[in-house]
Amino acid sequence: MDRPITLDATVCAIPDQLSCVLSGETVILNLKDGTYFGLEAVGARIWELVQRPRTAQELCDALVQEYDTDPRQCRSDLLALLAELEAHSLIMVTRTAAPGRVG
Amino acid sequence: MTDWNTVLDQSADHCMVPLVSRQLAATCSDLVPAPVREELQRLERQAGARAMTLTRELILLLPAFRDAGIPVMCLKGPVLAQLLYGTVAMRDFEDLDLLVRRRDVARAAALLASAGYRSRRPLTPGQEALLFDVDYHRQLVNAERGIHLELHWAFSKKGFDFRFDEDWWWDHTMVVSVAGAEVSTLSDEALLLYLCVHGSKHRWVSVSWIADITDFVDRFAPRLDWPMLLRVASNHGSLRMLLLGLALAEGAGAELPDPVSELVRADRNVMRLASRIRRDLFDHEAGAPGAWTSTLFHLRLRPGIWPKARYAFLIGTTPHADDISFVALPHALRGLYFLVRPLRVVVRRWQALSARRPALKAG
Repeated sequence: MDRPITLDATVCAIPDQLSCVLSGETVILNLKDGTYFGLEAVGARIWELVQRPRTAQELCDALVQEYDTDPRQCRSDLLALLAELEAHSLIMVTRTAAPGRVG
Repeated sequence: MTDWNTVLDQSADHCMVPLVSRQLAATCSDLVPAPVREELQRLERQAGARAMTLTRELILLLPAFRDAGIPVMCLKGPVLAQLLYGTVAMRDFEDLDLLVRRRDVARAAALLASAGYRSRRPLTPGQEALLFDVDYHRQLVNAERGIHLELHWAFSKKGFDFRFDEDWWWDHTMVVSVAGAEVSTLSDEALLLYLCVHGSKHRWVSVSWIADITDFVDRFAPRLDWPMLLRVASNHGSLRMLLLGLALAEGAGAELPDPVSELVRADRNVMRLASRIRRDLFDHEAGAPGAWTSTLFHLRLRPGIWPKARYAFLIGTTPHADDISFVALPHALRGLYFLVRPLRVVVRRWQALSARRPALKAG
């Protein structure tokens, strides 16, 4: 099981996907397995931002500025959504190396 | 007072839901009753999901064609949507149209068969061979995935008398990026001519085809080689079809270059046909054009006595796909297919009448 996504992880949408805005909702189709995933409002904006590689921190900063929201709540919601997108194989996540054990 | 039920019905009938929904939302959403807005959004999601599914299917099929060395083009569908609107979801389409060269049809059909595609109507090898000779596409379906696909090798049946110069069309292609995949399609002038021929072939019964040309002209008019387009249309015996498509687009608000607009307006037959098409577009009572109406329409698309006579001769003597699939005649008797058509019409009418009448035999 992957480690939780942290703010220093880099995320990016997978190449094999097709996304369209249908009646205000962003619908993502995974071209490999044919599954659909829907995002609205802030989720749709996050999807827009991950079309190129960004760190989770960069995403959080952008959202806090655009939506004038509480940074801690934003961080929590963002990481939860990114975890869900990863679970559906819609984003690639590059985690920083885990700190080495001392001993 | 707006008849919103008619707006909904006509938008769906003419495959215009995505464009109508977006346009209403952008310009006068407060005037649209909530239930109508919700229904439009539901239809838009349905059309969009269908477009995305078909696009995925296209992208999954292309590598097989590439690996088999079969050049293939996508006509209309997701490629045209991407070209015109930057997203596949803004056109409502129900199938994929793939074009291959005549010499590659057998291999393409075998490739599609291995991907689960079957002819909509099972045919004998003799019927398939005859259809290949007189028709222009095979209608296939993947029953498991519910996907319809048309495999084209030309743009019209033999009887339509449209001179299809295969090499010219395959020399005029371009690549469009769709969902990260490079998809071949017709380029600029070739695409516009194809859209006009396609619309004319089907007597312009769908507003979406007029919208395609209107939006294409709006986007790409400045970069088109209009003199070349007019010359090629003339050489292919399709100048009036081109002018008719442009007349309909101009009537819908497209701006044509002045010399082209003057040419369109100077052809009184084109202007009369355009006026008639616009009148019939939303006339539910008119119904689908009958065979005689369609024949007259296509005769008017051909200027001069000789093209009209040739069309009338070809359409009367070339077996129709429906005739060929109705009965399998030996090759030596294929000339008798012109007798099959009236027989087929009689049988179908009889079947329709029998289905309507309840059984009167009892009592």
